[in-house]
Amino acid sequence: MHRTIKFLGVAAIALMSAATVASAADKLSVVQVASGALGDGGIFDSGDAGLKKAVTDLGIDYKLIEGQQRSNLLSDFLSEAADSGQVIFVNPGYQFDSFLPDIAGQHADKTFVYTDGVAPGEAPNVVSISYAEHEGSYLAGIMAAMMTTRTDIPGINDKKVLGIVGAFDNPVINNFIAGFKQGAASVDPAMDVQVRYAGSYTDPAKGKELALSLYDAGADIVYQVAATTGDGVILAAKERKAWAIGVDTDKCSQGPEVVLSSMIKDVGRSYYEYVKDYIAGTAPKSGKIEFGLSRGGVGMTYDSACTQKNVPADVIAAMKAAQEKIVSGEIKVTSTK
Amino acid sequence: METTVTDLVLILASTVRLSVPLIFTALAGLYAERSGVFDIGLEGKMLFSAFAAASMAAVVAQSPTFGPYAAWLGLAAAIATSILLSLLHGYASITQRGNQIISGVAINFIASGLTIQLGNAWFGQGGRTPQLPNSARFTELTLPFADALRPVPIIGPIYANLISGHNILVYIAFLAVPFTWWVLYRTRFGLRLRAVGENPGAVDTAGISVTWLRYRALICGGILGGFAGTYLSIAQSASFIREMSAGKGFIALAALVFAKWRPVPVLFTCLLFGFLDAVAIRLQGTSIPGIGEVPVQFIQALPYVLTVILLAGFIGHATPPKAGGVPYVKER
Repeated sequence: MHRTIKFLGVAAIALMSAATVASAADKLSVVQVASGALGDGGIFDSGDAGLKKAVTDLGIDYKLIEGQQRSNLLSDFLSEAADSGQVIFVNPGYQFDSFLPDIAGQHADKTFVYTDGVAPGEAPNVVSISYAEHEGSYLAGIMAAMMTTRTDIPGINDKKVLGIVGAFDNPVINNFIAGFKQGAASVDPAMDVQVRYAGSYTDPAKGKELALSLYDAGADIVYQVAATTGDGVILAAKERKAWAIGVDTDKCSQGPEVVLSSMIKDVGRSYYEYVKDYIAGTAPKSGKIEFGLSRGGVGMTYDSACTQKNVPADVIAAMKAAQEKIVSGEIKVTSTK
Repeated sequence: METTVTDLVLILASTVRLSVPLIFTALAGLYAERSGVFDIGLEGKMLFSAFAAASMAAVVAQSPTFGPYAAWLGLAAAIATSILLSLLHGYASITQRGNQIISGVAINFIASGLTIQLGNAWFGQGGRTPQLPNSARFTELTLPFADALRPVPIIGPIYANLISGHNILVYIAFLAVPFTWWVLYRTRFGLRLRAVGENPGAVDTAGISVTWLRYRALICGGILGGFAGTYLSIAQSASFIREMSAGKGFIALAALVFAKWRPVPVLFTCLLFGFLDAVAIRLQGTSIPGIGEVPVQFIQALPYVLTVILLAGFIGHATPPKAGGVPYVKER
């Protein structure tokens, strides 16, 4: 019995390494280690889409490892990824902080891409990608502040109150919030932006209650920065016939009648661009890359059916004008990260 | 005065919405545990039936024949799923006399993994189910005269916002409490159910099958678990999302202990838990004079802190059903 198990184990390992060698011979092998799982309508789905696009367009080998929020196993998943891939995307980076430097040190020939922030230490084979959430959210803030006093639009009251539902009180979420507040204040410094945190990324019921409490407090537009918890915000908007702003990916399909627009954080695009540069040999293998409005890492969904239908043309024009000024450096949006 | 009443009514309406899944689940646990079968798998049943309801509703939503009944078919699928899981629990822990805790934990794991796996295979959206249109959900009902009464001081907002304006499952949850009380204390089945949880030997001596009685109790629990899941996915939300039960099954279990396994106290305990949650939601961002703005983390911890204090300080001695957790063996 014991022998059989041992044999099976050895055979499995041999098979796995054979498979790795075979694929590594001709194609670039890329692994995404996601701390959560697909279906979040956010960073994991987006990263996955970008790398799948790279599979078809650039002919890479791509494997996804889902951590399913089991933080005690993430270091094992990362080691496994480092054994099997050449470029390893860790998503989001901060969840891997405590063991990434060690594992990267042991795999000096591999490149690690730290998503959403700056990696600890200065390893020669860890590159950090950060997103300028504050820049994109600034535009969302402009949109909301311009619309919240236009009482001729159904669902809009005369109060200068806007709401935000955030998943957690953490630096990334707070960076979205900071950008939104600056954008709203640029339209009207007296704008009251109320923030509520859910304490979860996957609790739409909580998101709905938080949004209802914001609508009750006089908000007519609520910006959700909360992964699937944010789905509840869109439901609450439907119930109160008020408005919501989506985040991460285009949320129009969840409520075409209540979603004004979405602030996209395009993790997938940054992954795709990085892989493309890597193959061309121009990608940096350490240091920091920022994907802001200028590189399409963040941005509003101007072309979405929701934005076209629900947002007045002059508001869209104002957002586009502000976007140009941010890209050119004329407007400086402060980050809190 | 008027705004205070309105604010209070809004908090209470939020309380009602948040406590409904707890009420259903705690009552489900009550049937099982009063019969002597511990039910740690409540969380898993809620999650799996939420998935079943959302999947069924999503599949039939577009059908011209079944579309109008999508929500009710979802409820039926949820109840069937939850009963099936209860029977699985029963087979392991009643027929096979396995450890009830382990069987329950296994159900939680099965639900957590299989919902995502099946969801991904069927809908390809990473474990979530498609967004449902309102026609395939249980939506809010407006009771008669709600809008006409709204301007009336005090009674108006209470009737329009607190009593009216919920989906039908909310009203079913509140009716399930007196119904359970009636079943438990006023029917022969209820008497036997309580007896089998305290002294299965005596029930057996009277010529009543302990096994069948416990299975029936689990089926009752399964039905209620199905309601809880349905409420989560197609009444409160519009799709299934992985792990959307978010620990509510365990909170319901705590409520059941808190209520000492009695139906009416179960209602009030669940309302209390819902109330603490609702208050915590609305406290965010307010500042207390002299202290300033209260940190979010503190407010989010508040319901749990208060639960521990209440549990430790006020509940007194909670005696579980005597035969709880012990598989029944004839003729030792």
